[in-house]
Amino acid sequence: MSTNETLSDELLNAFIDGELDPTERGMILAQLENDNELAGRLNESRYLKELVLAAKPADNKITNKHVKFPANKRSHYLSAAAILILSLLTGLYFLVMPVTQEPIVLADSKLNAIIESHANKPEIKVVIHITSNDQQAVNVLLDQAEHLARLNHKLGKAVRVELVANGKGLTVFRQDRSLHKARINTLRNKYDNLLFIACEQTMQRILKTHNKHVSLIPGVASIKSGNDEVTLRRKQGWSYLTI
Amino acid sequence: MTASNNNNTKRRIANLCETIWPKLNRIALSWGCSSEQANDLAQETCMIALDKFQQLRKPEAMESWMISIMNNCHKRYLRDRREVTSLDDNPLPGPDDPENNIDQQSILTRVRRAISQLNDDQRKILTLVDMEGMSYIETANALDLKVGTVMSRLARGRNRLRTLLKPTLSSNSNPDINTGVVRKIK
Repeated sequence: MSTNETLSDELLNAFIDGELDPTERGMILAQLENDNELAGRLNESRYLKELVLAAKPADNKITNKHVKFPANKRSHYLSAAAILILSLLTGLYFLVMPVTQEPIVLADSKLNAIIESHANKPEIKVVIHITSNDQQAVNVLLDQAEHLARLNHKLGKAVRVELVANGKGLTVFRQDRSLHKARINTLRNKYDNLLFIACEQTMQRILKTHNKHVSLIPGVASIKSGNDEVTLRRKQGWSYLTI
Repeated sequence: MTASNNNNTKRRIANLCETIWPKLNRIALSWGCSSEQANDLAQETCMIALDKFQQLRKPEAMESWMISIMNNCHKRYLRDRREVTSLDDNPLPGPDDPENNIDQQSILTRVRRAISQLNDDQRKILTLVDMEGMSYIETANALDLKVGTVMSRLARGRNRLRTLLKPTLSSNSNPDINTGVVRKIK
């Protein structure tokens, strides 16, 4: 007898979900001994269940790690007052003080060292080597790239930044897997002195090994060898940042 | 409820908000929200739970109660904004090496795409039961449904998923996918 006629989908689901009482469970187990069709059906259902579990979103997609409890109203008022006073003082500062070049204050010693080393040079040139897909580390590199890109306006000095990704870092520029697509698109549209470059050798290795064609985020350029590009830039005197 | 009980319940909900936070976020992601939307939804859920803690009838079912609040928020969200993303946008678990596990990632991408093609009712039940390991009764309470409805929608959802993933299922009679924390089938 076909299992389709005797056992409903709901019942088999309840079996694999551990929702049956011992009697019902025993009934299915007994039938399983002589029914290959039922065994196949259950195996497929179990595999499907495992696939769904495996597709569970990763926790690293959770942007805020903690719930924000509302402050009491009194502190709301105090915060509002503080913001108002701060805004007034800031406005007053810009009214009273003469317009001078905006100071560059960064809490990043590597960047500060790079900026200082270019003090007497007409142009700031930095190559950023992305060799890992570690989300936090990549965010730091993208922050550094953005800081540098902004200097163009702040210092009135030409700035060129190349972000070169290879190996595990290539994921950062992949259309299908990057966690930084939106950020890269924003940076690319906002700053024309940032250049994103992917390593073709890594792309070819993925194609060869896994028969997977790598598509890059629109606007990301590619070059034969990411390592060669980084080496060349360093020889040309570009500053170097990496993870 | 006495004032003391009120305070206790409110404190327990505040504590639960902290501990359930990642779970609420993850559930919202699995329902198709972007990470920002998931964050908003979890935040809104916690705030409503704190506001309406007196409506909690069964303190032992606090978690299901909060998921039911999130379900209502999500429905409103869908109605108001119509902004949902595919599960494809969520990062895949496992090693980040692009040259590792590409086959497995490809399977998971197909699974996520298939899940995102289910209707909202089926997707919610499937994700709570299969991803969060909730029982049928807990799922029914969380989504304000009868257990029978949960069972029939789950069956329809799984059948639809089976159809969408037919090539994947048939080519993996001996699956070796790294499912990591696969719950043992009872």
